[in-house]
Amino acid sequence: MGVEWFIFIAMAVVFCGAVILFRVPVGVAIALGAVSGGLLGGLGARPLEFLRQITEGEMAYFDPTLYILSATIFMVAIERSGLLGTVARWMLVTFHRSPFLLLTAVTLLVIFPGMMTGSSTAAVLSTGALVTPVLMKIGVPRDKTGAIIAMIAVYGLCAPPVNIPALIICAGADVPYLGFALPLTLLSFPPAILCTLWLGHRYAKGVRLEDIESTLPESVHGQYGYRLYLPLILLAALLIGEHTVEWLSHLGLPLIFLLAAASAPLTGRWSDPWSITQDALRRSMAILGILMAIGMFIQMMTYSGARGAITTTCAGMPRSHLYPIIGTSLPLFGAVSSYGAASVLGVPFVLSLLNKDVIITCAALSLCACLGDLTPPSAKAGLFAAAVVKERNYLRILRHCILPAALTALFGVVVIIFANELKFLALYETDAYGVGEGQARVVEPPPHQMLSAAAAPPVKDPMPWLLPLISLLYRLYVGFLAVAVLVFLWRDSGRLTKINALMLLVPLILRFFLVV
Amino acid sequence: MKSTWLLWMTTICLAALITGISAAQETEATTETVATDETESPPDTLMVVIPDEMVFAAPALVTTVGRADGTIVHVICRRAGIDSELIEEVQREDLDGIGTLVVAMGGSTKGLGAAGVDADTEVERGEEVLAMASVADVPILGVHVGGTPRRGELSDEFCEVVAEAADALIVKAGGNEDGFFTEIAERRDIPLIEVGTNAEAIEALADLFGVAEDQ
Amino acid sequence: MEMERRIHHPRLSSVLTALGAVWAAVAAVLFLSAHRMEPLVVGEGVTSIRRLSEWHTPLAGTPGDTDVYVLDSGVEGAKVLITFGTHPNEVASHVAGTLMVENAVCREGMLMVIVHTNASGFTHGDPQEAYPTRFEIERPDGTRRWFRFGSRYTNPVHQWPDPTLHINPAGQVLAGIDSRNLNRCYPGRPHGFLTEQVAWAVCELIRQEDVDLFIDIHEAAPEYPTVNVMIAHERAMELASEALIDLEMGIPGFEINLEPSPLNLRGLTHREVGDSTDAMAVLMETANPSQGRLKGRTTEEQVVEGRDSAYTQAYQHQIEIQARGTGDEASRRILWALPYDSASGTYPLRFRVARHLAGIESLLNALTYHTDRGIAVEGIPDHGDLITQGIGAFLAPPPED
Repeated sequence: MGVEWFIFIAMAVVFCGAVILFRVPVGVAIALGAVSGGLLGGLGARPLEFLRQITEGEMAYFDPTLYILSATIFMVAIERSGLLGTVARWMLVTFHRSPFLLLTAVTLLVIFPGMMTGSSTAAVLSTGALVTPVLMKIGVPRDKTGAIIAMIAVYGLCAPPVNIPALIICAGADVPYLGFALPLTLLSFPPAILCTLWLGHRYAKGVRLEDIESTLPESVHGQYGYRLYLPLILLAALLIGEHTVEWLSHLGLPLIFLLAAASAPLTGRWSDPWSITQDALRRSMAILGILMAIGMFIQMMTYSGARGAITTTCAGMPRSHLYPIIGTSLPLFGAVSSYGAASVLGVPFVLSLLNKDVIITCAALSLCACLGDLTPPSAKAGLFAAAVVKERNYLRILRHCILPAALTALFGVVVIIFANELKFLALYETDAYGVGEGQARVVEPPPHQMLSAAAAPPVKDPMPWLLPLISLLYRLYVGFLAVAVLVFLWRDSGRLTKINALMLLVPLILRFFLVV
Repeated sequence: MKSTWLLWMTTICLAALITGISAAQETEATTETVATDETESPPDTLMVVIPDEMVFAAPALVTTVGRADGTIVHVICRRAGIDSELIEEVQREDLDGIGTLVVAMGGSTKGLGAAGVDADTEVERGEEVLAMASVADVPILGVHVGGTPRRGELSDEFCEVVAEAADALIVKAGGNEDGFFTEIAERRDIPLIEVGTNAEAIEALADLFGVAEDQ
Repeated sequence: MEMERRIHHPRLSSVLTALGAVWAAVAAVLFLSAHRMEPLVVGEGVTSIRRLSEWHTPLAGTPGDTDVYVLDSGVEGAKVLITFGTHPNEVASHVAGTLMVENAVCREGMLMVIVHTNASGFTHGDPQEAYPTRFEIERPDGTRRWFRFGSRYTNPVHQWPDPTLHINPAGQVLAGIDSRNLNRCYPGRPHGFLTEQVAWAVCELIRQEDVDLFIDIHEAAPEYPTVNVMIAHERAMELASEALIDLEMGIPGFEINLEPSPLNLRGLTHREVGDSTDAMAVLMETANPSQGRLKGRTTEEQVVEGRDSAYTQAYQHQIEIQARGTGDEASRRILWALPYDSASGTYPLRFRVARHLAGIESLLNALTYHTDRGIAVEGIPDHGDLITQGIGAFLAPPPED
């Protein structure tokens, strides 16, 4: 047990030392921690295996990187087309007298992309960016604005229909992802609205329009008319269509955000797509570097046995400690990854809670895992919220999230404790698969005789050309991004940002050439 | 910025250190406990004398409480030469003309999932079936063939319901290492037959039903 | 907002670009070398080698196509299909499959074996799991055979991108990544994702060849409750019960449980093959520490010897609990019921492979005894021999590269 913990602590010390003593950016520092873990774990003697493991670790975050980049491109595109300012102005003019209504509207707006994408980042970067100027104009300070957006985005991650941590826990414990809609709604929406009101009520006194008139963002509605809103409408339509229209479900988030972004320059103020991309890279590079580095870090934690040591410690505790451990370890493991927390810790927890209603338990565990998006250093929700509100130090934002997050974790644990009492919430959709009450009686087949098969479920088949076409589009997109990152690497002025760009460049090249 | 970072990271490192140390200590503690436990004598094996008059009669109706191992118990009955039928959800009329209700004990998440019921509903249903059997004066034989994997929180609820109502128990040794069934059998003064393998379970069933070996 | 069109730090930039190029090139060589499949020596029992694409032509030439080893006795009888390597990180599966192809001979009926069912999954590893790419097994003469340690999922290079949610062919909603999980894609779709096409091809094979019994071989993390089990479709429940009782009677100390295939967990072989073909479907699982969540460092030794400090510790907790009885509820560990080999506190690969082969043999025998169409297969390595002599004793000498 000892060696693994020693390696883990060494990795953490290298990371902290690099950040505090040498002021290395967080992404590069995490990468250094990962490298030190590999060296201590015995990979120093096998440099080729070391390189392979490090690169494989990076690939864990390849898909998130793509949609984060697409979402950032979308954000920059609607900002430049004038859409962002127009909507913010409209919201302020409409709601400035009833700030509580405004805060609720903000909550619902920001939670929506999170619900549809299962990603807090997507929520922060799309509608989060939209409401930021609104909140700041009614007087919410920069850091609290960031905290509100980050918190709502985390609840959006938990809200149905797409809750990736819940799906991961379900997959690990062989629980069908059925009947989660109501429990997840109740676990995410009420806390989200309460949290926004709690963080924002002090500033919700209402403002006089005349006072802020001069500082309001410019509206370009008069210039472009309703076509200006097309990117937002397209985004919402594609996100909903993804879950309702069969062929749209194959698009994937990166392409959806990219399509919506592509419509922005054409429906509002024109802006050059290449410069939009470069701007998006500049805004997200630090964060993407962190993601890549975290991929390496977890890989090295697993390789050296540190991940197993943490899991074994949590899962090896006496049952009397189970609930406090759930409430703390799941959010804290989010320091490396909230999806990782769901898989590595969430699954053992649900397996040890089999006497509780499994749907309620999974839903509440996923809520605790979602909070991991607020735990530094990765703190995806906090990081991107900081980028959106242009706050340099994301810990200032996270400071305001500690109390609501702790209360939310407590809420999750309480729901688990009362899971059996709450099981009426899990409206089990039995009819969908023909498992009605009356059919539960298993009919024994006559012995020694083959029966003819039951009717196969209807098999819908996509158009044969659809999937290859989408694959090709993705490959082209990745190639474009690789070129863009290479150009960025040469043009950016920060030396250490260039290292982040390098960490991002290698996976893009490898995927473009279909290596891994 | 710098001081906040320092604070955060020191906290995380300290937390990691403390957890690590406590984990290491627990390992030691565990080893010690195992060592002391080994010196203690193992629990006495219950010797069962089955009363002569207690003969379970065919035909048997095989069912489960916990949706596990029904088919296996059914096959065991058949191999023991007992005329039997497997019905997962027993209704009142199914008990007509039945000599013995053989109940497979133990929970299966997959089995409960297959039936689309949760543990509480299954316990209620099990209690109803067992009550129907005692009203109809059908003797109940509880059978546990799943060993350790069919014990634990989920299974124990079902096992308890059945064992508390049964007239006799057949349990594979692996499922009774903690004396769970022994305790209930002693308290209720019912015979408990511990078997090592399914082959022994077949023999035990044949004995209980008074079926000749060669059948 | 316009980007400066100036180059900063040209020397550093060129160094980093060069570094990136070298990094990418070396990594590319390393990753592409994993595309070479482990060697397999075709045994005397194999009468023909067909390709899965023969039953679903669009699969031809894709990374999803794989070899189907046919062991045809020429004598009328039952037809059985066994799939190994559905999840290439469940190593006991494809090692057992290799032993079948290299040793088994069919005397009655017809046996079809797919060793690398998700062929694409063998070409990469799961990010963040830090698996080795290969492991070796020593033969008695000191020569070594190597095997792939692959991924649970189809290689994203072969099937990309993942949807946000995967609604599988049976209608179950799953995480997007499960669109690359073969055992969530049954009964497959003819023009769906590559993984769904592989599932479709397997089902087509079963339908077109009138397969009577289908067996799918898996492993799972030791903490997962469904290990050391058979999972059977309701039409195969009776057959599996017979096989299970025979197994426990035939091999002293052999413990295995039987689970029914859930009706509400769709897309898995035991449910979908049973529902959409005439075959009886059974799936078998053993416990594999190297894919577990509690595992320590994944080494070749952990893979082959099944020794892992974390699982050994968890096993000790279990002994402790059993000795103490269940009365002390609060002091029970959160996870404790781990099915380990009680003698060694480990779970060596040869034990797991032996379990699978014994289970297969028992199912084949049960099919013969309890249905009117029989199958007779000889040469499957014996359970006891495998445990005492090791896997290497039953592997053919490594072929010349």
